[in-house]
Amino acid sequence: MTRSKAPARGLSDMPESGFRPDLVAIGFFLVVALVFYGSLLWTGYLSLTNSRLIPSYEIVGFDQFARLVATPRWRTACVNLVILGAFGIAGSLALGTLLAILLDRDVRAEGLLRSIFLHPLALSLVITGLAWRWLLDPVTGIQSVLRGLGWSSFHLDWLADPDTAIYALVVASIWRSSGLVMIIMLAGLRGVDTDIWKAIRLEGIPLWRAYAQIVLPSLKLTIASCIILLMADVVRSYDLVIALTKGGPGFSTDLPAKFAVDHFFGRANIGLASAASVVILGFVASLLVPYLLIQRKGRA
Amino acid sequence: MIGVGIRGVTKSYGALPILRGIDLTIDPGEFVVLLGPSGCGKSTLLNIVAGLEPLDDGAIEIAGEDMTHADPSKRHLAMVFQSYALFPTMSVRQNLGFGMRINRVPKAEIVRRVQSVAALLQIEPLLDRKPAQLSGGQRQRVAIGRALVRSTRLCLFDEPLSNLDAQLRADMRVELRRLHADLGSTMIYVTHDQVEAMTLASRVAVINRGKVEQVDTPQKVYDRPATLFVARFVGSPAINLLEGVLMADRRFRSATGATVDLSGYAFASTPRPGTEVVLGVRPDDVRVAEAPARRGDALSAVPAFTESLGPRSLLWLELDGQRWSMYVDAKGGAIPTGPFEPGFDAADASLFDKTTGVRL
Ligand SMILES: Nc1ncnc2c1ncn2[C@@H]1O[C@H](COP(=O)(O)OP(=O)(O)OP(=O)(O)O)[C@@H](O)[C@H]1O
Ligand SMILES: [Mg+2]
Repeated sequence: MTRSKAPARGLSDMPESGFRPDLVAIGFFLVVALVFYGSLLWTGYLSLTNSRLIPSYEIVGFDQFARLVATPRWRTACVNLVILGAFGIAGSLALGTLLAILLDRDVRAEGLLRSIFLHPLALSLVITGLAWRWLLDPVTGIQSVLRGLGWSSFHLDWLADPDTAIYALVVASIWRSSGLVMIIMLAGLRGVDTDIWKAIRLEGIPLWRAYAQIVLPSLKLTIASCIILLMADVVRSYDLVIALTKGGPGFSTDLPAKFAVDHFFGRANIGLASAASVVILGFVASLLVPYLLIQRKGRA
Repeated sequence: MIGVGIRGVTKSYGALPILRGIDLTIDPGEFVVLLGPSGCGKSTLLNIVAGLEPLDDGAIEIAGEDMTHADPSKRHLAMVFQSYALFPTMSVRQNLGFGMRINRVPKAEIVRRVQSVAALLQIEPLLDRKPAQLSGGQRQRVAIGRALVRSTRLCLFDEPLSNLDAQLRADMRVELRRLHADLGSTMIYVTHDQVEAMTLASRVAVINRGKVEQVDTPQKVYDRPATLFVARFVGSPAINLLEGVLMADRRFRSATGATVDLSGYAFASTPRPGTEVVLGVRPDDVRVAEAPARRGDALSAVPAFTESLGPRSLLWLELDGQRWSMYVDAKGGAIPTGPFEPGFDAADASLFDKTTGVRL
């Protein structure tokens, strides 16, 4: 065959060999669209039906949403989300920024800080959760260590108390996320013009004012990006809850995502679970609002 | 108006020496330009004067006081940076006043000083804008303003105009001259642009590889360069050079045997015959010899091409294997077309020791 001697002709050769990359790509996107958006629409539809163990197609309007709002467990889950969101994000942002500043100022402990705060990024949330479960367990964790050292009155059993268990989650979540904030903020800080720092030193501006009034304000887009990433982390905290508390004691550390999963698979209440999922989707979508605002501002 | 003394300053980064013993005395009210090629250590020296960079050895005196280890904010000086270094989230007004606010200057005094500097630099309409809303030239004005608010006695500039386009640069040069004349501040100005150096400086310090090569008025630096480096670095088009040896009767002989009579040259010390030298002549000083010697060993130039510069043209020559240039009158018409004998006044020429590069 003479054709085989011709130099490779790239994609134009493909149809004859029966391979159509474009078709493959289209197929791929179709599958994604179908599975992803299809499920989305399907869930939305189910949330309007009276489905229980198996899907039913009888539309009952917003009944499921009304029931959802009336469920104390759902309300606890939402409050927990807010607590985790507010304290978790504020805490991670503050700690991560502080660490980034320390690293940027060439603190000696760079290696230590990196391993304490960057490794959790590489670990599965389940492992993070387990680690904290051990640390906070009265028998195996910090309490027993400190008591062993002679501080016999030391008391740390957050996980056992329904009122404090959620704060154990907050602590774990701060530890898990501040590494991310640290590297993003560090990149931002390293990008600050060295001449600005010279001007700061020349004017005799104290360090904390320099950060508070000049450097950090100039990184507000970076900080906003951190907040968006952190919010996404909070919404996805399902794994952390499972590993750390399984939602307990009682339902005290439940989160909306866990609520939805439990009702889908454990309690066979597909209608209510779908309604919860739709509300969660609403939360996530609302995260996009600040993102879009920033984008618009960045372009203006 | 305060003076600055730079005494034997050395500085290395690791094993790499950057400044190798800099001595420079700047009198109150002077406008001294540090001129040198990129990487010669100008910014490093300026940062050392400002206290933003530690020095290895030597001392810095400001206003007669030893400031070698003083904090930058205590050195009575202000500085303008190449990237302007304005605080991005503050308005122009806040940029100008922030340093004073930090130092607890009374509000009324801050307002007064900001106003007067804003008026001086004609930036009053910009006071409520953010730096991002300003053009490059306006930012530069604000940066200068921030420096002047801080100190009108000693101002350091690190290539403040290098980010501006040519027209604006020319305008700002005039502006800076005016400011210096009005305020009488002592100014130290770093640049690698010789036009800036020539137009602004009361004295130019030419720096090469961490050493001061010459400190003189711009005219002196141009007319009587102290070293071969200075001769080459200053002047555009570049100085014409020709290598050769010095002969017994104060004659210069090039490699091809052409000789030049240097009896009119002001030797710094009695020349030693046989020294290998480099002869330098500014293009402005070269002309067509009016009374050609027509000796066999006279210089001979072959015209290569001309560049029109408007009122006059630059004629490029081939001379003894070297590329020379000279100015010719575009209108006068007397542009040589064939080989001719170029002439110049020996008193205008420069002669350097080839091995040391020092002016003879
Ligand atoms: N922090 C540093 N670490 C190592 N080397 C440095 C550092 N800062 C400057 N240098 C080196 O010191 C030399 C002088 O730098 P400097 O900034 O003083 O040059 P300059 O004369 O201002 O040049 P330019 O005109 O390009 O600004 C350069 O070769 C540079 O690479
Ligand atoms: Mg420089």
